Amino acid sequence: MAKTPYAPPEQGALGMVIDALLILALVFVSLSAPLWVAQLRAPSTSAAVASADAPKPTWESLGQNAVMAAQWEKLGKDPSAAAVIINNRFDYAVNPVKLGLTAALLVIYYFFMLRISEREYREVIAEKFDR
Amino acid sequence: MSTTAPHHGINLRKVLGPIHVWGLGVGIVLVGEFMGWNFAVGKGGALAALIACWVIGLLYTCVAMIDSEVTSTVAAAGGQYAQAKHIVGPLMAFNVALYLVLAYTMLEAGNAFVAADLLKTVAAQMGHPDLDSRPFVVLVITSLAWLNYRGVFESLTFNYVITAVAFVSILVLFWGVQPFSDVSLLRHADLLTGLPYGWIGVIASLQFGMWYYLGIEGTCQAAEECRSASRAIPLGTMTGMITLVIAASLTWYMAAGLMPWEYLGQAYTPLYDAATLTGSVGLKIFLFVGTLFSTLASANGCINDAARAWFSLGRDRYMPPWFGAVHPRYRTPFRSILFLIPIAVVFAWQVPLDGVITFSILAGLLGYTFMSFNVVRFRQLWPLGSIKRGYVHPFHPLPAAVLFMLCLTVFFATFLGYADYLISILVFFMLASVWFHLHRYKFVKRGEQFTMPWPRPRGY
Amino acid sequence: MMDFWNVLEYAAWGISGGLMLWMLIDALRVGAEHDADALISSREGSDELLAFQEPTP
Repeated sequence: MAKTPYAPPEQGALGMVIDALLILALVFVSLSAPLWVAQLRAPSTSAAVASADAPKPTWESLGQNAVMAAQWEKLGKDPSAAAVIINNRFDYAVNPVKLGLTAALLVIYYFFMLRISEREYREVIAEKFDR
Repeated sequence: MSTTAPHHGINLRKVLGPIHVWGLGVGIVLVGEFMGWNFAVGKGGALAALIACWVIGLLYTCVAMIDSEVTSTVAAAGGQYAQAKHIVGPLMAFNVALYLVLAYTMLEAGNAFVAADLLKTVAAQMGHPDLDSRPFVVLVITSLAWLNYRGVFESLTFNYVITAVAFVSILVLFWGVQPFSDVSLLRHADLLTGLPYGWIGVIASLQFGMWYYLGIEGTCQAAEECRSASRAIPLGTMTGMITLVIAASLTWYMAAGLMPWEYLGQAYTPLYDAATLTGSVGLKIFLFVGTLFSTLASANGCINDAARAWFSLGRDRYMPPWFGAVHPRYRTPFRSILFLIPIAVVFAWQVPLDGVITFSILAGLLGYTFMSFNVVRFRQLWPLGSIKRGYVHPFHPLPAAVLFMLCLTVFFATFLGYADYLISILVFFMLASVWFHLHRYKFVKRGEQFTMPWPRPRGY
Repeated sequence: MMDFWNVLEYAAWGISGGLMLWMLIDALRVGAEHDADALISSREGSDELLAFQEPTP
């Protein structure tokens, strides 16, 4: 079963430059997205920290024992500086819609990628071994 | 079909032994003990970080076993990229190469950030509080890129030396805190507070638990430049894993005994801070050197690996072939090295350290998910005995199944607290895949990509 | 006030710029002096595969 191998078109210099820049742009835009999202949310969180700071925190009010307090101070943090760190907690409440969306993205991504890969792979094997 | 005639093009140089593989693997990863792992403490408390260290250690043992088998058989620059191309298919291979480029470039950015931030800290301690860290980020990245540009042997030998120094600095610090004497500086009884977020925090901390080991699989990027890949890769990788488990345990033990978990969970340079807490100037200087060296060794290995993955893309025309050039004198993928510099610089300048690390972890994690089904397929398409394998991993398919389940768990761990990062990286890979399939793949020669002298895969 | 650390900042910018320039010029020179096809003539796994395809036991 002799087949003529697939002959790819030659790409000009301009096309190469565009391709390289396009991928570069895609990296920058899509991976900077979480920062923009964080910036949109930022004002409310910093306000929350500011109001939590209002009464002057002490090591006791921050729940730190004597050893902890000593280490904080050796690290150059007074109670107010430590309060910002200590009060900055994660929120692990799971939003089911967001979780579902993320899981769906992951499944769709792998599903289509593997399907297309399989199609391209058959073509590669056919051209490689059917000659 | 097998091309027995020696090839006379310009090729990468074959000079590396197991010790370089160890240096490359551990060199990239050891920095994880000096920075980044402690974000796991922030996500779930100190005990959670220890559990994460062990659970993720299991994940990486699976990765190392699987990867040693596949890599010692598919020995080519680009590592997992070449595996994906021969075993799963072109689009998967394109994605895998991008995982590698992103994982290593983001890690490189994190390293440059920490090296520069460390200088800033020292400057502040010496009375210059507002040092501009940006020029130092650029200096780290360009000078290491320059080393890589000039030749792989020189840069990996350099890596080996500074990795060894960094490793010794962890041991010296451990000795310095006198863990087993009556005057020990460690205060585990007073500082360990249980699980501040409960068990969900333990799962969440698995994300940064990856950082104890991330990049160890990078050893196989050097396959094409090894004198004997089938021996050097498994040996270098396994000894590397052992080194890391030891270093990770020591690091956790010291840091958890010296710092309140809330501080530890957000520190940029936890081991340097640990040395500061001992009050010893000598230890402080040594850990400054250790932290700096570990970031440099890691960034150096990252440039090496990211550039080789990008180079492989160019060589197969998955990216413009211009990137597939080898320097005629230094025999390095010089254009790829240059191209990746601005990406590392921009991300080190802009993105917070935990964000850069999360991108690196996610890119790695997507790759490990690939490895789990890749090895199952590898055994199906070419059963044992049908081709020569450099190493055969035991208990198949158990490691693959364990790896797959752990990967899913870590995806969920990342979703907890870093969901936006997870979504954006998935969107990136989807868009890149569409672009590749609809546009870029037409420039790729089909049968020629398959370069292994293997028989036809079973079932095709 | 210009102190040691400021000098270090400028030195870092300067050295980075110099190295970057060195690499760029070298890359351009190599591109101009060598045939484009020769530069991209490397082939995946060209010969080490044969080296370790020793007789299977």
